[in-house]
Amino acid sequence: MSESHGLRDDPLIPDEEGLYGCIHQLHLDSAEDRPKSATFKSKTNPHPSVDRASLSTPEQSLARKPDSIGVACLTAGVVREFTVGIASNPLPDNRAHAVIIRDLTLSDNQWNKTARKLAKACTWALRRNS
Amino acid sequence: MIVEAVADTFPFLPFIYDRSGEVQESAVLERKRGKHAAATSDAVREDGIAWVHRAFEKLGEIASLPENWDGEGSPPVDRCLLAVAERLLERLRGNVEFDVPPPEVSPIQGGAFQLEWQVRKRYLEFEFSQSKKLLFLTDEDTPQGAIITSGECPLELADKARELLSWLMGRPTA
Repeated sequence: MSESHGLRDDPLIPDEEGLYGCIHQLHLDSAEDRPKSATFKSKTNPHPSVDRASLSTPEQSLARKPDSIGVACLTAGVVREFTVGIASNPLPDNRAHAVIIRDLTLSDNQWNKTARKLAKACTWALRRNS
Repeated sequence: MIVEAVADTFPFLPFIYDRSGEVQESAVLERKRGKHAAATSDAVREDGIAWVHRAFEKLGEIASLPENWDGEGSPPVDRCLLAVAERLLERLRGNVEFDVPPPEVSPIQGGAFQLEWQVRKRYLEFEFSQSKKLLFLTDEDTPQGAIITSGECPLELADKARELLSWLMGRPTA
């Protein structure tokens, strides 16, 4: 049984919906031109943050993270394939905010496989002009 | 100048001070050209231990990341974990007799970090997030699709890390 801080997959987020994530410069795999798996890892926040494409634009998402080099996109269906799902988590300044739900019963090395798969599935929604 | 900064922020890297000016300069120029660590290169250095030097340099770079480097409140990279990685690299320098490209080094939110190599169709990741364990991941593109495995091993077992590097380089493993 999964344990995920009480977070549950939101059935109102359709599989086709895009999920935007801002990518830090240090998390760019320059050879493959995609985010690194480190994008989806954190020792302090187990559930990676994303923005729902139905409630945000890539430009708006990027504006909230000025240090980012671009906005990567995953569809909710792909995220569901690899994880527990996606939970809406609107914030006062970002109603599009949602989180990818990590099953906390998974070990870190099991999650690392998921992080790798998520990174490889990313496409670019927007790149910042350098 | 970068090397000096590394030495200031990461003083327990003894060989930083021992390297020739020429090698330091070329590493700096390579960075200025935007040529990141040759983790994806098929070319392998002739000097079998050069990759360890480059790995130390890159550890020095992430060691100097400030608080909130990610804009989301992450602490700096954990110095204890850096020391753990240094010890493993020192061991590998002593017992990896074959050439390996330098890894890329990526910080992980919360103070951890990982080393990454891509050699042709094989990818290897070492994650340093715990003081006694090495987390590793392998990914190989095959005609049947990607084969991804992960695991962990005690950090004092450098043999496992060496075995994984052998796999990365397509060498026979015991």
